[in-house]
Amino acid sequence: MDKSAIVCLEKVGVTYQHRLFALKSISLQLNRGEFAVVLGASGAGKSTLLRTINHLTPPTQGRIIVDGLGELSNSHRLRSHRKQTGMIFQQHQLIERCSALDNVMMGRLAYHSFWRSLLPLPQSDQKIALQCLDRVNLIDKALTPVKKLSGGQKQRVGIARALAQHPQLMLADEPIASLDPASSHQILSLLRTICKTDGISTLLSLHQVEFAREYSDRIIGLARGRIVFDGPSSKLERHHLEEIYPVEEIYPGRSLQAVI
Amino acid sequence: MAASHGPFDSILRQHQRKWLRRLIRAVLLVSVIFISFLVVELLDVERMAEGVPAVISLVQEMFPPDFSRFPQWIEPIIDTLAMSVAGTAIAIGISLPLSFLGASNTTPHPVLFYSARMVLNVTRAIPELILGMILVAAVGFGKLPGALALGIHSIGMLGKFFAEAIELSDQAPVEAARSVGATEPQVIVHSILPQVLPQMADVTFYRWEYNFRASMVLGAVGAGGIGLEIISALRILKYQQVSALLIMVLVMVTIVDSLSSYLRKGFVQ
Repeated sequence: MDKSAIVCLEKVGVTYQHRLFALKSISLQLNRGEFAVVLGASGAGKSTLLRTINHLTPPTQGRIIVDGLGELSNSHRLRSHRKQTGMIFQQHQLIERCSALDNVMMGRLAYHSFWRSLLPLPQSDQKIALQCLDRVNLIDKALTPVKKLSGGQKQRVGIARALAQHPQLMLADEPIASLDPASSHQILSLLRTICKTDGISTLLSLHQVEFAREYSDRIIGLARGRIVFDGPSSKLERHHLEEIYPVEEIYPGRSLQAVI
Repeated sequence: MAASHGPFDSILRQHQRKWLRRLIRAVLLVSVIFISFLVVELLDVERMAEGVPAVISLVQEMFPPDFSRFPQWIEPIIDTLAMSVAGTAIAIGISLPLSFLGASNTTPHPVLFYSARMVLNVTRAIPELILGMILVAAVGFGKLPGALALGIHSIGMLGKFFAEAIELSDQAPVEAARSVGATEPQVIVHSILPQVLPQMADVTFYRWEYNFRASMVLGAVGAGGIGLEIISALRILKYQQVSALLIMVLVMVTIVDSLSSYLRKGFVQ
C-alpha cells in the first residue's frame, strides 16, 4: 500500500444470498484528496461497492486495508474506520421529526462513550455541528424539523452530518438521484469545494456521465460487478461508456448511438 | 375472439369464488355471535324483563346524590391519582428496557428476545384484580399493593406496544448511525428512540387513563383509594353516596382524559 493511499480494496467480492455476485474481485486504491466518481448502470454494483468500503455490506471475499488501521479485522478497527469515514445516502437517512441540528449531532456519536452520549453532548460538539450546518448554508434551519425541509436542503443536512465526523474519506451513494438538475449542481459543487478545501478523499456514485466529467478527478466505471474503466475523466471514451452502459441487454443488436 | 374469452371467464370465476368465501365467513361470524348470546342467556326475554323494575328502583334509591361526606373523599381521590401515576411510572421503567430486548431488530440475542416476550405475556395475562389480591396478601392493605398491581399488569401492554413501535421504526437512520461509527447501544438510543418517542408517549398516556379507571376496581380488593369508598358505600347500602361517588369519578375521569390528550398532543406535535 503506497503512501498516497487512504483505502485499498484487494480482490473484494460480494455475493448476496441466493443471488449471483454483486461485486467480483475488485482491486482498487483510493488516494488522498482525490474526488472520484463511480459510474455504472443500475445493478452494476455501485451501491454495493460504496457500502462495502465501510462494511455496511461486509465483503464476502477479499480484504479492505485502511491507512493507519490495517485490515478491518475486528469491530474496534471497523468503528475507528467508520468514525473517520463520512457517508451520504441517496435517501438522506435522516430522522424526519428531529431538527437539522439533532441529525447533524449524530455525526459526533463515535467521539463519545455510550453513557456519555445519553446526556446532551458537550458545547464543543454542538459548535462543530453548527459550523457544519453553516458550511452547507443551512444555519438558519438548524432548529427546523427535517421533515419541513426540501429535498436539496435534506441532502445538505446529510452532508453536514458526515462533515461533523471530521472525516478523512467521504462516501456518497447517489447523493443527487432524487434531486432536480439545479439542486444537483449545487450539491455537487458544494461537496467538491468542501472536500477539496479540507483534503477529504471522496468517492461518489452517479448516474449522469456529464456530471461525472464536470466534477471528478477520476472516474471508475463498473459493469456487472467488475471495474471496466479507471482513469481521469479526459480518458473516458465512447467505447468505455458502451461497456459501462451495455445497451444490447435491452435493445439487442443496436448500438448506444442508435438508441440515444 | 373465443380465445380472448378464456381469461375473462377465469377472472370472473375467481371473483365469484372470492364472494362466496366472504359470504361463508360472514355466516360463520354471525352464528358465533348468536351462540354467544344464547350461552349468556341474553335471549331470555322473560328474565331481562324482570330485571327492569329492579334497576329502576335502584336508580330511584340513588337520588338525590349525597355529597355530605365529600371532604372525606378528597384524600382517597388523591390516593387514586397517585396510584395511577406511580403504577404507570413503574411500568415504563421496566417495560422500556424489556421492549428493546423484545423487539426483533434490537434484541442482542434470540434467548433474550423470547425471555423478554415471555415476561411481557405473563404480566399481561394476569388480571390486575388477581395481582391486587396477591399483593394485598403480601404487603397488606393500602395504596402500595394497588400501585404495584397496576404497574406490573401495565408492563405487558406497554412493553408489547413499545416493542412493536421499535420494530416498525425506519431503518434508514439506523444505517446512518452505524456508518458514523456509533456502537450498537448508541445506535439504539440515538436513531431508534427519537423516532419511537411520540408513539411511546402516546401509549403511555392511554395507559395512565386506563390505570386511573382500573385503580377504582382495585379498591374492591382492599387496595385503597376512591374505589374502596365506593365498595364500602355499596356494602352498607348507602346508594345516595354511591351515586355521588360515581359522579365524582365521572368528573375525574373526564379531567384525566382531557389532560392526557392535551399532554399527548404536546409530544406528537
